[in-house]
Amino acid sequence: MTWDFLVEALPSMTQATLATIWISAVAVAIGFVVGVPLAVACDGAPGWGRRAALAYVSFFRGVPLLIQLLLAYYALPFIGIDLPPLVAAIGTLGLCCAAYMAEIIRGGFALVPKGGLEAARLLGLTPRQTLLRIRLPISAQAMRPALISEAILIVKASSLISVVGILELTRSAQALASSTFEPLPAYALCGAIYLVINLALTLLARGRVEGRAV
Amino acid sequence: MSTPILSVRALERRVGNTEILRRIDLDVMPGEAIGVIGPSGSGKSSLLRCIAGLDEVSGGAVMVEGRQTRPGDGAVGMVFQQFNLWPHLTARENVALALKLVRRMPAADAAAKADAALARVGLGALGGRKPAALSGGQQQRVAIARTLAMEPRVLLFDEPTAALDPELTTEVLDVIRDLAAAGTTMLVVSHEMGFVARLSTRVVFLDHGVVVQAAPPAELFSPRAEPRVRSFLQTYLDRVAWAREA
Amino acid sequence: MMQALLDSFAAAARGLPLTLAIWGAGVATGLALGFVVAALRFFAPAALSWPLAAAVEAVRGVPFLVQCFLLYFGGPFIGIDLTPIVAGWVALSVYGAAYFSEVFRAGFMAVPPGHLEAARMLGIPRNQAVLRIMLPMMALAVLPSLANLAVILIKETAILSIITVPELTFRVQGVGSATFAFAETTLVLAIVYWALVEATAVASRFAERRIARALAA
Repeated sequence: MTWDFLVEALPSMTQATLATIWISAVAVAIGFVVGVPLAVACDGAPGWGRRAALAYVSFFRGVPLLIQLLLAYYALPFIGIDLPPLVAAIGTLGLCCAAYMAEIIRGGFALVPKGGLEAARLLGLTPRQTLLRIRLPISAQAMRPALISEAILIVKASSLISVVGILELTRSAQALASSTFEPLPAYALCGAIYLVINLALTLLARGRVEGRAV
Repeated sequence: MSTPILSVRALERRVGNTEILRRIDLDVMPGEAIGVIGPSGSGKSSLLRCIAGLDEVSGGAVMVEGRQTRPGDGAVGMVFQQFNLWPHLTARENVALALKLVRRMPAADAAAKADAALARVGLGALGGRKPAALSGGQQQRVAIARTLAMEPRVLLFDEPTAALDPELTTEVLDVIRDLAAAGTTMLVVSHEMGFVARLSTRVVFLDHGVVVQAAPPAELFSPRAEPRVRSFLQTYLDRVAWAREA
Repeated sequence: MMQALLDSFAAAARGLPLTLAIWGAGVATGLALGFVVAALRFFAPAALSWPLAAAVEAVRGVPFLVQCFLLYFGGPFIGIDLTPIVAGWVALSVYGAAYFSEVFRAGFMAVPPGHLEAARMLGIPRNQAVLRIMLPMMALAVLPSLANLAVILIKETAILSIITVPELTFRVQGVGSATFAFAETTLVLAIVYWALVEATAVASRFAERRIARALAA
């Protein structure tokens, strides 16, 4: 790795890092917001809602994300839904994340004692209030490690949206590799940045948990 | 003669082929404290849960002031064996949450009312603590305050001291006794026979889902009681005596 | 449109053997490598286990796609010149090994020390105790997670198409480039992978039960 390489790499890779971070953050947010009702539906009364939710989870967990992204990119326009590539990519990432989030949230919900929910029901809280004020907060602590792991997976998975031409870390590294003819340092730098982001997430998770315990 | 505040009419509950409650009839007058006793598995808890609306009934009706109840309508409050406090909220927040969300009280009013309810159960100073930082007896008293603050017409206690260490039961029983003395209508399932005898205006003895006898304590805890009641109380007393000797 | 679908399924059938082969080989090497790494981290001195821990974290913290690029495009610059298929196999093995090793390590730690102490008090040598007491107990605990990871790795093989491994995704996408029927080819890919993952998940649960029963008997 030479000085010239770094000069060439720094601006574009810094931008790309920020892109990867915000894209992942939006995807995780979508994942959580969609994941909660999905989890509720998966655990809900038998019927169409539950079947649809389970099929959703099975599909998004069963099909490689790469193929999902290609579907959003090629198949959606085919049936008349023409989204900007960035929206399609982030949306797919978020919806895929939701399937995994739903499983994590279900696991968290299973830890909430039934009595606490019965008390809420007797006191007149609506199912929605019980979900938002009782179930989610009680299970949040237990779910945090799994949610952080999922966020890390999403940061890594976001590398795949390079395939549909979105300029994030991996795509920028590809561009850098071909413009400098130095793929080794380009991809090593790219990998190192992912690693730093994910280590930061891990530390964040740990710091939070310890901060709470005090 | 006043009208009953709570009437249970031909209440039945079946789960599969098991009959848990068989045609229970019970009228409770305002201000009455009904003790519910019986062997385990006799349907005591089920009766309370059906009155609360938490368990599905297979037949009959539960009416409070002439209206069919459903959970959350505020007619019936329940205190559980396991307290069921919400661990992520402080004692004050536990009491105030339903006031805010269900009664639509402004936060400050809800907090004030919560503090008043906590003071009533002797916990005025501990509102800021989370359940984990409270003793079992204190947790149960918070649970009572939480129910009390919603001003239910009838209060149900489902073995409120069964999950407590023996030395912590008194503080909870004292609170219940004070409430009864203040005229709160209540049903109490408990194995604390002495407490039930002193607290209750009437005691209901339940066995295999049937009311065997419902009578004032002086009558039920006497040699004139039904044979089945006597034999239950006898084994119970034997056990206590044995425990005392041992 | 019908023709594109048929062509895609045909291409999928041609690509499936390589997908399964590279997956099977990757899982096998990954399991072996992962076990060795976990055992070293658990039993070897800190001087050795610390760098291994760092390596595992590194592999788990970097996207699989980037690792593939690093190996396939970057490798030749340091004398590692692999064909796409071998590069894909190596990448999948290393990636799988990092995750497998974490499962094995958790398995090692899950065995209560009392069991080994009991064996020691009975005079059973340590290596025997590890072989006959620790490993069987551990196997039961780690099987579900290992099976789950193996199923996840099937999906990762699709990424190998990007470094031109002629597996399922690559072949079917080839039909797309030739006919421009990308919607159809992608749909077929989704269906085939979904079926493959569901089938493997069912099979792994079945195998898991069989192995668990054999170990318990």
